[in-house]
Amino acid sequence: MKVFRSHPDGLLAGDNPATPSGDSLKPPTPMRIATLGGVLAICVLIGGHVWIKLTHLPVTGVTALYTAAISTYVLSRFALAAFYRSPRDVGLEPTVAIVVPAYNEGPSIARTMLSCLTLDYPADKLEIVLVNDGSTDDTWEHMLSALSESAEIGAAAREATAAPPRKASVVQVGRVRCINFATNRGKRAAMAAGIRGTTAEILLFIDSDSAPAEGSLRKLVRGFADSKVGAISGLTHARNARTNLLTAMQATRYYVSFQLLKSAESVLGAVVCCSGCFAAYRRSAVEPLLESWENQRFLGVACTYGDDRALTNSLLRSGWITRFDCEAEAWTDVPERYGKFIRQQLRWKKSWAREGPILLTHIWRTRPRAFPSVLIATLAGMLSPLVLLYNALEPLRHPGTSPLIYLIGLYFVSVAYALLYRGLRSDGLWPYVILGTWFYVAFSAQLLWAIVRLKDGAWGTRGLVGSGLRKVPENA
Amino acid sequence: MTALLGVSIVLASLSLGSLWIKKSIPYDPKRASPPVVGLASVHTSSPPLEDYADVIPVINFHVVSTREGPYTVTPARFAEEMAVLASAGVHTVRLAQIEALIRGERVPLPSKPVMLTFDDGPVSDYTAIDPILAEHGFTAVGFLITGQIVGPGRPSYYLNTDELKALARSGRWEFGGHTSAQHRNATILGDSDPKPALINRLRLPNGTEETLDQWRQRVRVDLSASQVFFRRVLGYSATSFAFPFGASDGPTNDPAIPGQLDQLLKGAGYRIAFNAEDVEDAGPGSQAPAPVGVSAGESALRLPRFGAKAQTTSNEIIDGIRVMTRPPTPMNNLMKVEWTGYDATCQLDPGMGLRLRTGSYGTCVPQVNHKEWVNYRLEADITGVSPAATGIIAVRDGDTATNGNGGRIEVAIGESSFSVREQVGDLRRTLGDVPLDAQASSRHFVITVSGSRLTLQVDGLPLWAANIDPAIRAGNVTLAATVQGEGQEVALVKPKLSPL
Repeated sequence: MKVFRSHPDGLLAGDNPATPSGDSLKPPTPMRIATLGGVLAICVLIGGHVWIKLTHLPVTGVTALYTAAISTYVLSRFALAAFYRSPRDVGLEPTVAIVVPAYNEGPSIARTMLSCLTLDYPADKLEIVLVNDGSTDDTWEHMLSALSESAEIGAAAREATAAPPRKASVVQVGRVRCINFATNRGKRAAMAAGIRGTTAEILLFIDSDSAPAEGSLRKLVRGFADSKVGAISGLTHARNARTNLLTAMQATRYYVSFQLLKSAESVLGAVVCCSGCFAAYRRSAVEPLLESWENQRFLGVACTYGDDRALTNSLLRSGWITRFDCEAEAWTDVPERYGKFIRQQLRWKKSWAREGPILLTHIWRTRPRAFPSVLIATLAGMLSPLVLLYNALEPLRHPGTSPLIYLIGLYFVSVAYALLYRGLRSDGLWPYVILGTWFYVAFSAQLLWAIVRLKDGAWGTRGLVGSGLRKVPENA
Repeated sequence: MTALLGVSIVLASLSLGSLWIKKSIPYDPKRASPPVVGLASVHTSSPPLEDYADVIPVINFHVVSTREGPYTVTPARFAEEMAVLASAGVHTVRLAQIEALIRGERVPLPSKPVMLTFDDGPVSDYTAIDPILAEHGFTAVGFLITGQIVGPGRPSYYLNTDELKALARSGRWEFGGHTSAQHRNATILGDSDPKPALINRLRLPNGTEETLDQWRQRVRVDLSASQVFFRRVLGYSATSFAFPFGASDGPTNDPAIPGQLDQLLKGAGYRIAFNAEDVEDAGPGSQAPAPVGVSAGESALRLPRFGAKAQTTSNEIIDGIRVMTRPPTPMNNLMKVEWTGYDATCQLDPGMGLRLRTGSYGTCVPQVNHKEWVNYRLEADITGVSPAATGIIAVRDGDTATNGNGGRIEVAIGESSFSVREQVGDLRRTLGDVPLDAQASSRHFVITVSGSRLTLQVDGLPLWAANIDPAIRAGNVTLAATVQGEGQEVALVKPKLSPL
């Protein structure tokens, strides 16, 4: 796994760096112009390819329509992302509650709590709600001891928690509230309890291993100045990008997905997944939906995975706008082993396969301008494993044909993503965008398995229902 | 390192970009607009085509393209040929009409009916031929090598299924089989020349010869594959067939094959079959028999055609139609018909008979429709026979089941012997060599052909008789001579031809 550490150019070499913000990695202007030119050239090329397909429609047939649809979608992402601007800061400073569900987190929950307490935000406007979802380990004890260690809370707190009530269900010290479930009730129940336990205007969802960058919380909430905005997603980076090939591919994939897909969706006012690792929701928007979200059932089975996507979807259905703020950055850990990665991918694909069709049932009226791209993304996404298989098997059936056109098309899309990455970020990881694109396309066939397993509620990464951990954003 | 990677990606992208665009343009050849034809220059050299009845000449083409090839007609020439046909008042007919005609049914035919067929199924059926046919309101029959028809967008010499469907939808085109994958010459045992795969037992990969059962199996599977194709793409089974290379009866290495192939064709649903892909009008120097049209009573699986090739002119096609539609000539005085010489001068001398002069080998052929010359008796004297000159009288010349290859019975009369041979296609067989007891330069002879029986009486000698190949069904009477040295003349004196 560590072979890439010895890369001669230093790719993946050395320890993971600190968490630099986007500005410090901004490439010089000539590089930005060059990569922009490259992206434009590839967009023109793809456009030309679509033009050829469409002008030869009687010959190219139904495959041309697929190509045209998927290419138009990709081109529209670049075009829309070009119009993306971060929400403006008008000095909004709402009350914020950080809701952290936890299941068998052990000592790391203490670190999460302490990092939340040090966030750059007025202390009287920030509270923290930790929910222990019936952990079988010592998570609850670590929560309580973190409370007493907190310098900020001081002696009074230490006294209050000196002999912690082991069975108490709620302990509040200062602006930290710890809620304990005697039994495991699932992540959604834990989050719902946390949400009900606060009156703050804004709910901040954050994974136990996520760490917002300096000043990110202030940036994340500024978009709520628009009263129609119900949720805002931040930009999550992989903290362990340089650990191995797998994490490097995931890291670049995250970045491109956020900067391209979420930016484009934000321009249309419908970011379809404000991911649980770093996103803020308006409490007044969430509250009326809480009951149905907590008890969501699909195909007769209680929904355990895909809570963030389901919540964003409910907000959109109620007519709220959702946005993305690329300057509100956070850092999280991504799976370092293929087994865990595959189980995570399966879970995401399952939630995508469930929420995608649900989204289609209302987006045409709740946000009509986002409808065409949601429709194409859903249909093409569903078809993509079949297209992959078709292109792999067709040369066997008809020896004259080659998947060359498909593969070259894929290559250009991957290079366009890599150029975008290179133009936005000088961290030397851009080659992994190309690798990662191919890697993820190869994984698209997993969707078929995900659809088969749609009714299976098992969490996947741990094999236990309702683990509180969500490592990374959806839609990455 | 990343800079190097970047540069190589930029370079790869530049080259892949053009490749991608080039590769993604599907093969979708455009239909050419019909070339403009100046008829004035063509039309005058051939006399007008007169009306004819109860016969349909079938004219076959292959590919229309500017590429060079013996069977490749240029678009300009094809357009001219169709314009000449149209201005001659020709109308095209459909498969159902030709089927009804050969069954002897009363079938309404347009004036000057012809059938146009196009073998193999090249893409030019769609790109070049159909627009020209459309201009004249002509219909066509395409005989497809179905295994060669490709899917849409694939580069191919042959049609793709979309083009094929478009032709079928136009209403102008009917389609028949030309095998799925047997339109090829393949190796047989004991012959270095490859032979038509459909009618030969081939050499198997292990070096042995295909058995008749294996041949039957191969052909049955192939014919069935074609019909599956037709049902899948056009929605119906084909009822007409064209033999690859026009070869129905030979050359074959198993005499059982032609008969069995007929059974297989019928079993696959084919009711009529055409041969003679490329029989041309017997022009000067040609040994090929004259083309014939299709008329009532024709053998349904051996329908004759006239092949138009790269060098065939519009006038030759009109002449071909004229030859194919000649009414059957009654068997009467051979001295009243026109004789044409091939490598010979043929002169009718009313007092004496037909005089043939040649340098080495030459033939005189009466210009008749001998379709109905089946059982007959020829009586004449032959003169001029010497050690340096042999006279050859042929009966039932030309009109055999194999059609394209011709067939005949030859009686060669020399100074001191006579010899009888039969020829079917390329196969020659000597039926007998008989010495004559006295030398003479003139002989009297009587030849009769009736069914598959030949009799011959020379001078006062006893009657000589032989059985002949039933494939030699009907045909002309011709005179030929082989001579050594100049100035030799062989003559057929007072020939009397009468039906039996």
